[in-house]
Amino acid sequence: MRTLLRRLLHMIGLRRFEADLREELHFHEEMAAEAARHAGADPEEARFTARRRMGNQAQIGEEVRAVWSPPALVDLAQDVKYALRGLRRRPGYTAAAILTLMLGIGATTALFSVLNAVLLKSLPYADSGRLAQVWEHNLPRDRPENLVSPANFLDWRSRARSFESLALYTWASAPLTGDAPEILPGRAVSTNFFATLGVHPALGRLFVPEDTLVGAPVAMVLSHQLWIRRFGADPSVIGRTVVLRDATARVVGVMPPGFRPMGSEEYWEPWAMTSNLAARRGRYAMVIGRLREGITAEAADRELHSIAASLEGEYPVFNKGWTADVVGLQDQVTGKARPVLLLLAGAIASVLLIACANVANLKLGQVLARRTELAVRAALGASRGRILRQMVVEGLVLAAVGGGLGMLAATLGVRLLVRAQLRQIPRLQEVGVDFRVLGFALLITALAGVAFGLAPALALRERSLRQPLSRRGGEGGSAPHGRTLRGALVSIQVALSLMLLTGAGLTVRSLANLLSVQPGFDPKGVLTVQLRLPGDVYGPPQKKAAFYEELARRIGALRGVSEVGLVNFLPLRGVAPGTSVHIIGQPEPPAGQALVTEVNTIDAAYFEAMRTPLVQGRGFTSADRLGAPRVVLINKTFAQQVLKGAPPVGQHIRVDMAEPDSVLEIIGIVGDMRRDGLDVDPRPTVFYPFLQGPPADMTVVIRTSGLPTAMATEVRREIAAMDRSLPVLSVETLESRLAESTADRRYPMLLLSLLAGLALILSAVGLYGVLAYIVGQRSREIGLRRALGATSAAIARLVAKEGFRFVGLGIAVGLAASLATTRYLGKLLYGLSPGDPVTLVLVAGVLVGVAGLATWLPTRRALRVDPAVTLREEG
Amino acid sequence: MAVRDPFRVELLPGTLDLLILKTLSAQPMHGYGIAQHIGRLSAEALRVEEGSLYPALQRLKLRGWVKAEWKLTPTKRRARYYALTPQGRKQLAHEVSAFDQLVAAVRSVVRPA
Repeated sequence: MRTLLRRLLHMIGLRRFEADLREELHFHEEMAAEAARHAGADPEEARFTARRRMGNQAQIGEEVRAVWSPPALVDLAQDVKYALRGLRRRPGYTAAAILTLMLGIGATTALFSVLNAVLLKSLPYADSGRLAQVWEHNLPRDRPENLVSPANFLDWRSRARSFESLALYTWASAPLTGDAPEILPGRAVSTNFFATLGVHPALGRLFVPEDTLVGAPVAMVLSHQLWIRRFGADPSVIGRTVVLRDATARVVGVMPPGFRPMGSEEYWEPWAMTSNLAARRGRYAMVIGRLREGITAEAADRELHSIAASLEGEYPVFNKGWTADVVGLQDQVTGKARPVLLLLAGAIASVLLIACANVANLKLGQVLARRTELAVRAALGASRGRILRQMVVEGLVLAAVGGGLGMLAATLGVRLLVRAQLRQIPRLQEVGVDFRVLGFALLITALAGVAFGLAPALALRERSLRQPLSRRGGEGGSAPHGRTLRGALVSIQVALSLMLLTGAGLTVRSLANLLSVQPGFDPKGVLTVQLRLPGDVYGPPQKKAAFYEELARRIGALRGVSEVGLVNFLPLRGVAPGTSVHIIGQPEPPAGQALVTEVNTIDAAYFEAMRTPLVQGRGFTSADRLGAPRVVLINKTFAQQVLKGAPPVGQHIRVDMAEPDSVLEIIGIVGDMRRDGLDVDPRPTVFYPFLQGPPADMTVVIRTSGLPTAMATEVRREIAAMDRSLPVLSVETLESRLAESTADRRYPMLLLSLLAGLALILSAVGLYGVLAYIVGQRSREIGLRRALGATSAAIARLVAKEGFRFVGLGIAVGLAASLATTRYLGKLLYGLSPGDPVTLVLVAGVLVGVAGLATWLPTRRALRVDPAVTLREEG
Repeated sequence: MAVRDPFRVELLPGTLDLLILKTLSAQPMHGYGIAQHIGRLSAEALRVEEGSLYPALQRLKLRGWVKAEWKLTPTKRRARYYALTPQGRKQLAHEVSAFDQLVAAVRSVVRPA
């Protein structure tokens, strides 16, 4: 023990030690030379004698150092040297093992890092386990996670005991003028919002109650991104005034980087909880709360239910059928992604397992194939312990190289994943390579390699170590050393691969099904431009109408533009507002069971630009403007679900979104559009003519004959020509919109396919390794069979039978396991069942094909065995 | 390898440690001095190879029997002096008695009484 401590101390002072030793030997030499001089030798000769007597100083140094270096370390260096030499000598095995480790460790680490960051790490707020989101929930219409009425919020806040604080916030925006006019997305928040989250500013201060006093200057907190982008990261921005809508605001604080609870906010403004919020008029806000110490989200949920029940009794007109739900913030953020992420986690774990099996398999094969070498070394006096250690060191060297490359692959993989911007996966920007995960993957694979390298080596007793020597080259008989074990590993690999392939196959086919769904419009060649007219300049409806009409005319006149339409809520972008609708002449439905429709405002050319057909009646004309009779179009779904087959054209309806009591006449029916995604059925929709109530927000739909993106500059120029200070909210093609709407399926599918491909390759390598080994081991038997007249076909059958015994078992197990697990794919599937037989047959076919390929190479080797050679060796 | 002098007496294995410890029991000494001292006392019959001496000193140091310290020689040169530790003194006694037993045993075989 003491000795160990001294050795450690020695290592720490190593440089000093070397200097001391040099000086000591030098001193010795000088003393010896001096002594020789005293004895009468001339100085030159004296020095020479002394030096000769000292012998080789380097040699002495070596021996002195050897005293200090622990004996194991010396051997270890030697073992590593041997291991490297051995690995270089078997490039095939080494490449396979390193590739396996690299892919296994790299891919699994990259993906686990994402999972870990999203699922397991807590949110970046103080004590985030106590944060919860509160929603309203409409029971009869089955709409959970509905926005909240500020009036109900105020009652919750005064009555609920579960929360330390409850904060209210809603969407807000501020036009920023200047060289590049833009509209900043922001949030209006109650002044306790930041305190509830437990966050602090990077600069300046956050809101205080005094900020909402009447007459107080409007305060504004900037996001870090906005501060850098628009204010050049200038710290003196605190106290500066900016124009916020129709008033000036003072910048009071800047948030730290990454603080964007809803993903897109650029700034925050205080929201005064004034008495006019207490009027029950619509649900448009969100609520976040900090639970009291020791109170669970479930307990708070129960309390809010009972408060909502009494509010339902107190305000039946507004609250009939409404309750309130409390959802823990962590669940809220990751809830939707969780099933997909868990599924991917399972797939990743499977690939890691396959990689482990491969390493184990390769290692096992190596040890068995090297029995001769080991026997020679044992015969030459290497102890069993020494040989075992050699095996372990070799495994560790492989793991180190493979792990190093795996680390590179993981870093690269994470970067790719972050770049892919999985929309469904929240907080992706926080992901980095997780080194604990990397260590875990490294450890598992290294353990697999070492354990399976050791097991057979341990089984080799001294006697059996020598045995191969007496058996000429160790190619003895048909001793099934480790064959069953290796076969079992291959079966497991095949089964896991089959499961992954099934998952990948199902998601690929689902996406194909989804992409074949007709959206009800033609997205090809369409550019969309979203605009918002500021209320202070374009107040009266006539002004808005005139602007958009003129803009549509100008853009329509551009070369390459065939149609231009206008719409306020474009399909695939956000949820259109919905409201209740009454059919004139029909009895009012009971409270809480009103018919519901979405509402959209369009111009006369919209459907033509979208290529959505008019099914019945007429479309809008320029005559349908302010002052003319109020008219609407409906979609097919409205006709079926709301009117229930009654002839629609000519019916009159009342919609709760228009001015009260205005009666609208249905003049036509248009085809359905899938506006919330290809997998969401169309909902009943009413279309208003834009000229009878032009909104400030409109999207210009431009159908082009060429490349739509090529038109963007010209369109922007036309907008600037009409109003230079008008910000453009977004410019994008309808096709990219559509592609993005399928991203939630596309990425899991892509990842599953990648993992399945990886699994397939690794399994094929594993199978090949086992068969190649078996063929090598049985080459004598094969030679004899050939000599006795076995045909090539018979030999091929022999090898294939070996291979397909393992593969068959693996496929059988894999199919059973797939049938049991694919239902967890759940919502990822579209238009097929989890047990889709076509997919299963296809996947099994692919596996059999790959297995055949992996069998082919060893079979060819078996066929090349020359019976003459075998017989000579036997002789 | 240094050229070996064929006329010198070979040290019995293990006796070098004993000789060094014995030398240091009188006073602390540097490596060169130890070699000189052993040579002088044995009338140059025992010659300590530098290639054995310095590893042996480090071995003794590792076991905690000697400690080393840089000091000035009477001629004002820096040299590493080795000194016995209390543990080393105990070891010396132990080795001396072991050596005596060995010599007695060898003698009783070589020259039976």
